[in-house]
Amino acid sequence: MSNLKNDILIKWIKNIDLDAPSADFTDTLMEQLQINVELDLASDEPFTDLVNLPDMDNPSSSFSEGIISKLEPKRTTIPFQPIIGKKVVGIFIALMFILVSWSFLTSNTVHSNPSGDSEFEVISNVLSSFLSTFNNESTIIALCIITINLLLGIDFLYKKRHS
Amino acid sequence: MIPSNDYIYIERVLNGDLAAYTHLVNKYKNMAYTVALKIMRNTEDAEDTTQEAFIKAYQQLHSFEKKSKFSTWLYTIVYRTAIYNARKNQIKTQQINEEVTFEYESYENDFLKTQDHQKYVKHAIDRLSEKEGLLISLFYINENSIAEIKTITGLSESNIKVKLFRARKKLKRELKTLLKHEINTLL
Repeated sequence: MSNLKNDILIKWIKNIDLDAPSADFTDTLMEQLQINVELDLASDEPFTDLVNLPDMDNPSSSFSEGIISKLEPKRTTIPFQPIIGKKVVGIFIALMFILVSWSFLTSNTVHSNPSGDSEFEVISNVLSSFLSTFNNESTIIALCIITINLLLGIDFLYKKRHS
Repeated sequence: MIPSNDYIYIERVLNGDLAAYTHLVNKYKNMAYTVALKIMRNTEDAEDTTQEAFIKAYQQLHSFEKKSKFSTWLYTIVYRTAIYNARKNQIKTQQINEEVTFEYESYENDFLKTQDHQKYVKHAIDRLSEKEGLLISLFYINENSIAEIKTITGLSESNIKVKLFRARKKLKRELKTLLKHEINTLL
């Protein structure tokens, strides 16, 4: 009787269906494994070595300064403009040339020196003749013209040096 | 020792064919889950444990020495993973035991209404201790040998035989009314 009970019991046990996990068990597991495989690949030594380079090449110490200076707006250099325009200067020179020529011609006629004095005397005669052309009242005008010419000369030299 | 079919799939997996592992998972998932469930006593934890064990098996497949069946090697991993996880979740497992008791009481009440042997035998096995239930499942349902069960559980052969004997005795006691009815029918 006991053996019979045993046999029946064993037969029943053998007929029991195994417990089964959820329907998507295999899919979930394989998905998890796939992620693990990808992570393992990512942690491969050669790849890690490639990504984590031990020492990166560094630029020179002045690299940052160079970049910053390039980013800064360019300094605006103020071009030196002549105070008086070229046309005005041309007119003044032409006027002076005419006046000096006229004075020279006048001095030759008024203070002719047949003996042939020195060059110094010729220049002083021209200058006195030039000043006399303005009469005494116009001496101030003559000085102004000379001053303006001096200023124009200074302006010309200054511009030449800084250009 | 190894079924040739398993060996082919194992080789394919070792050669980087992840899809080949699906075959092994589908073939052994139910028994692996049963082993885990016997220890964990909770379907959710059992499924997590089974999944964890399959992942461990995949990761350690290169160390599988082919001295035993793949299934035995796999169930060893499942068993050890389940034992480890069950220790971590001890409080949770105790709560599940109460539910099992309740289900069994309800089965005795409506016993005369149904003759579904499978259901009652399954409930009776669930009432056994973790190791007794596991040994019954491995030995009778999965037809593992004592030597294979020894490999899986780490228990000695004599201990396994004693536990199997005690488990059968408990089952007979639990199912005595059903057994009597069956014997009467046969005689």
